[in-house]
Amino acid sequence: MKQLMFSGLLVAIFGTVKAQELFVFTEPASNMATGSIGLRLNNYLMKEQYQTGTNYHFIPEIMVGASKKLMVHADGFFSNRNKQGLELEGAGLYAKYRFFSNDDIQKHFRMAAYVRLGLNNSSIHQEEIETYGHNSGYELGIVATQLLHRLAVSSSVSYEKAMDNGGGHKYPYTGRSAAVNYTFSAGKLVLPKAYTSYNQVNLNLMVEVLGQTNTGNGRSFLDIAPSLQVIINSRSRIDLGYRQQLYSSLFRTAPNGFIVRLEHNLFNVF
Amino acid sequence: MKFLKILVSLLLISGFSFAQSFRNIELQAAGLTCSMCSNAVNKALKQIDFIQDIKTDLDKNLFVISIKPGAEPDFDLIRKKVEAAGFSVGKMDVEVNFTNQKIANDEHAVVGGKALHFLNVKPQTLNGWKKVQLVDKSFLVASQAKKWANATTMACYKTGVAGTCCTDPAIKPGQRMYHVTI
Repeated sequence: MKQLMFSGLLVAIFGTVKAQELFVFTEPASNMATGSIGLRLNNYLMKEQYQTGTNYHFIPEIMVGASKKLMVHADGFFSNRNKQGLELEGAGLYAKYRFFSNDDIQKHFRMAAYVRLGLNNSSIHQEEIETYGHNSGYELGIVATQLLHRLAVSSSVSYEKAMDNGGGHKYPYTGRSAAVNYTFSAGKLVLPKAYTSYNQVNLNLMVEVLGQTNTGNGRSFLDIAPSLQVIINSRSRIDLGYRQQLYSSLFRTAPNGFIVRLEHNLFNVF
Repeated sequence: MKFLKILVSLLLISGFSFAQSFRNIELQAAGLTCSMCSNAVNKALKQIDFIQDIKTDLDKNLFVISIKPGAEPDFDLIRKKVEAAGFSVGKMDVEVNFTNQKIANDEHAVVGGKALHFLNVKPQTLNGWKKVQLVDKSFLVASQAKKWANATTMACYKTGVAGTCCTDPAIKPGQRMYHVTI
């Protein structure tokens, strides 16, 4: 009954429009097609809280649909944090395995487990743990995505553990190196009103809530992240998102800012 | 020599006309709405060599697949391509060419080299192009699959292959058995 009320609430919010689950700040439980390759250029432009200027992270990413259940991402982490231009600071690997799928016509419920490994040589400058471009460490999580009467919602929970960064940058917060992350995402397709061809430009609007609680001291943050997405020729994506901290008791140096992402997908590559 | 060429041509033409047992396949993919997902399915299907053309209805996730004349379609391969793209077959109808084919409920028949097990049908004789729906579990959404699970007590519905219970001499034990309805 609670689930029904929750679904009803979401339908009331988003109406009966088609939803998309190609979320900007999180990954859905669905994977890429087998044999396809996706190329991403991720640009994070985050406003420094305690210094002037913008913290720019550039993350080129290659995504591979290894099988119908498994996909893998490889990332390079660049940033301007050292103030000497863009510098390669590390690299990451991400794998997601879809272990449950119940498909119906324009509906599905899917669950996937994922792991992220991050290696980073940058200095550690905040209490927030982020193995995607900031900390060396790992993340283990599960994500569930529901496409329900043309509405897609997704939620994930993960455990993230920071380790010492490379280059002699030890993890400075003793006893606070692990955290639990939780996300909730919802999205809708604004255009086109009716599908007639693969060449139609799709416009999607999404909103995501992203949170973290440090298991060591119980401190946490919660962000809201609206985004806009354009899909061209059913194979390329332009994502424009903004992340805004709602509250935080964790020390963070640049929580607010933009993401600009370009993505291109190649089908049947192998 | 010229005579031989004509003879070969005639044989090929007649061969094609007799061999064409399957024409169009209407496939509804399940588990998707977005055009990028549909495109992944479309591109995966286009890799199949017995497919001549695919027309799509993106709003309904329908793919109307025409089979090359004379080619023998592999229904499981179509399903596997949809699954490899990350989705499922929700419904699949196949146009089959029948010639004085007697069918009855829960009985087998061989058409165009494929073993078909008819379910939920009245006894009748089929002639010409008829649309049949595949009702094997992997060609249906879960809610529909539950309904068809009890349509026969024969083991072949679960195994997908002909068993020893099948008395039709044209069907070999272990042959792929597709369960269909009209």
